[in-house]
Amino acid sequence: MAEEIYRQNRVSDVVWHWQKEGGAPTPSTRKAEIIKGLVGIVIGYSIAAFLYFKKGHTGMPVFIVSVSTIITCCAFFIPPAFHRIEAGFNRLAHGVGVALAYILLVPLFYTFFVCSHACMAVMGIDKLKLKKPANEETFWEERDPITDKSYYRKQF
Amino acid sequence: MNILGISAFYHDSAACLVQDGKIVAAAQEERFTRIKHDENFPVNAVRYCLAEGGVDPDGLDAVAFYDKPINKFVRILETYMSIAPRGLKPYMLALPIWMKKKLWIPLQIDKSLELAGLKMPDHLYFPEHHESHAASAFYPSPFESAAILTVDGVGEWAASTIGHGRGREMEILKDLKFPHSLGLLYSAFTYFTGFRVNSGEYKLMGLAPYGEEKYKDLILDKLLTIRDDGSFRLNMEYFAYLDDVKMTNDKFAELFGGPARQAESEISARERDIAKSIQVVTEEIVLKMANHAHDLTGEKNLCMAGGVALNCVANGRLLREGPFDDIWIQPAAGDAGGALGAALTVWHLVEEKPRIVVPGKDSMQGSYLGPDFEDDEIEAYLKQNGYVGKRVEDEDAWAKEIAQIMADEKVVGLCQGRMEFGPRALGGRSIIGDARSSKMQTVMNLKIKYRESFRPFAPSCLEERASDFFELDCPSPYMLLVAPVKRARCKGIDDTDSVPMREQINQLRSDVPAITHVDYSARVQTVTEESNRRYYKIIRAFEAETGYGIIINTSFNVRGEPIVCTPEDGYRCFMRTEMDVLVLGSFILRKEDQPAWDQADDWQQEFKLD
Repeated sequence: MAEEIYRQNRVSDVVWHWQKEGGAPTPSTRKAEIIKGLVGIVIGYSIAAFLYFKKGHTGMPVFIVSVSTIITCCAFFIPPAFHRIEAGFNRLAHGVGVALAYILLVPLFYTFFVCSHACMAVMGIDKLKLKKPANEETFWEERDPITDKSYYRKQF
Repeated sequence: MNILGISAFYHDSAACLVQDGKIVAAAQEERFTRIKHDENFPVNAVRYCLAEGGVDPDGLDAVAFYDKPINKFVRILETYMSIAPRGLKPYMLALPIWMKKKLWIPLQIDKSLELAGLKMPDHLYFPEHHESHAASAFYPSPFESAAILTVDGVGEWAASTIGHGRGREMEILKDLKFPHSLGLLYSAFTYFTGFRVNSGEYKLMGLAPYGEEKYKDLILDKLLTIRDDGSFRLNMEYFAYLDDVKMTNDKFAELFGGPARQAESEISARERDIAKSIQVVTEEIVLKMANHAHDLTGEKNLCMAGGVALNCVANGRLLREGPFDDIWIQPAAGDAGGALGAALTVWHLVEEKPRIVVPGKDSMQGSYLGPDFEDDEIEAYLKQNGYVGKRVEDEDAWAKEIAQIMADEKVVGLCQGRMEFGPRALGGRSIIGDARSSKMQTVMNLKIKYRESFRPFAPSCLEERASDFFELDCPSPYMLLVAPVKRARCKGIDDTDSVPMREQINQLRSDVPAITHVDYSARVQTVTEESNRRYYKIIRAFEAETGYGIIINTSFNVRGEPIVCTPEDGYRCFMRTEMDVLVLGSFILRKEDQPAWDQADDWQQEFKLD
């Protein structure tokens, strides 16, 4: 007689995956991989078509079509290889993201924030109360009671 | 009505489910992802809470996030405006994360609910950070009315608040604003003494009794201006947390006679004295704040939350010397508890639902709000993996066997019942042992927990026996009060100062040396049959065996690892350490019976040291 398999309850099924370990990936994971593969091939073929028909290139479109076909095949048939390719793209995207962040944010810092600081200094605004305290009796600040419940719906 | 509370993106992300005002489930994300203090959006904790509450796909009525993200973002921007051109480094670290994740909280919640198979409810709420803390402290408390004190690093702008709760009403009366924060002051010293910020504060507190308050006057003179009502301003010339990615600067180091201690290096007398000094300063500020809260509200009870409320030495002093008759501290006082406070704020303040108070009994259910696992499932798991355990169905026999094992000076890993919510293990996911043993502190620190040898262990004590062991006349179910060990139990030690710290640890200070800290104090957990029947039975069986209704209780994990959640986490930790016995529900597993464990398992690299 076949041994009875324990069926996890709803809570355990969510937090403890001992029955699933080493098993096949869940359907939703596989589905996501296949969708990514299909999106990849659509983007790749579109770029290749653009380069071939609009720009008249031949070498690059062939290369792009080959790479996107391989990636899509991996997504469908060789998931571990697809994971590696995806991780590589993620690293590349992260690097591009960091570079872009510096390109955009550093100038913003030295223009907006430094200028704001200068304005605040001129106007004598000490938002963080960094100056040595005078003779205030207390540093506690009074709070207004919350009377409007819509306050809780706002993120500010 | 189902309200999901969420805290995320700073440290200790968590989720909580409140059903018709009752706290049904709560858990920190770190327990599921196995990343200590995990700050990511608590997808797993959300899924757990919804499963525990049996919430249908369209059954969620509201979601409450524990702070107001835009206000927090504005505070960050205004900080850079105030300090530019300094501060580029923290700005470059903070801005991309805000742009990518923290500004899109509704989207994150939507995605997380989708993963859990639920529809996003129409109602999404954002109470303030300290309001969430205050709600987590007041609403589950056993008081009809109380003063409320919340103290932590920082929320939106507030770093400390005083509030007043009456029935279902709660109001914040006053606050102290960033950067003048007691939590950040304590964290600055945590950093300077070589421990990790938001994690090592407990170590600093544990180190304090080894030192003297030599730097107290220096701290009060140079680092802060304090008023009689507990309000203060920090002298930011000495701190670096505004314009750098560290907490203190060179000027601070100069003040304390040299650079910050390197992590894992030898702890010198300077660090011990600094620890003692900042601990005393913290206690005095908290006492003054509490006095002011008392004057403002006229209440005889106090509720506390926020990371600083986890400073159980200060809490113990507040109880002994403060103006309040009784104090209740939220067991998940840190940011994790904000999830609970946010949900309760919606229930009581937005929905205007009444609050039912049972005098003398809080509504935290012992803080056992996490997942539990059935014995049949544990059996199936053990069988599948070839692990050997004995099922002991009868609770009394089960407790007796565990008590006998402990009485033989063996160390037991205990994974039974629902997991605790909050940073303390309270007998659900604990490592337990004999408090009478002279070697237990060293064995547990160095062979089980792999952590610093100076760190003390806490006792779990039958509530009715607490006054036999400690100068404590009230329950301490959440291990949040430090009390002196009864004088009659203490052994005199003539010359402590000349003895090296390593030897001080091994000195026998009482007849329960494993839980008696160098200053003859202990961080007490009192246990009742009502709060945790099985755990109570173990301690009672231990008392029957030895005459002592007290045992050691430390969290079931190794250094840097989150407390175990599932039986699988427990078994892994058991096999990786020199623990003798593991209890999984009704099963008792002895180390010598287990199949060989893969020694190549490079687990010491798995967890980043805290």
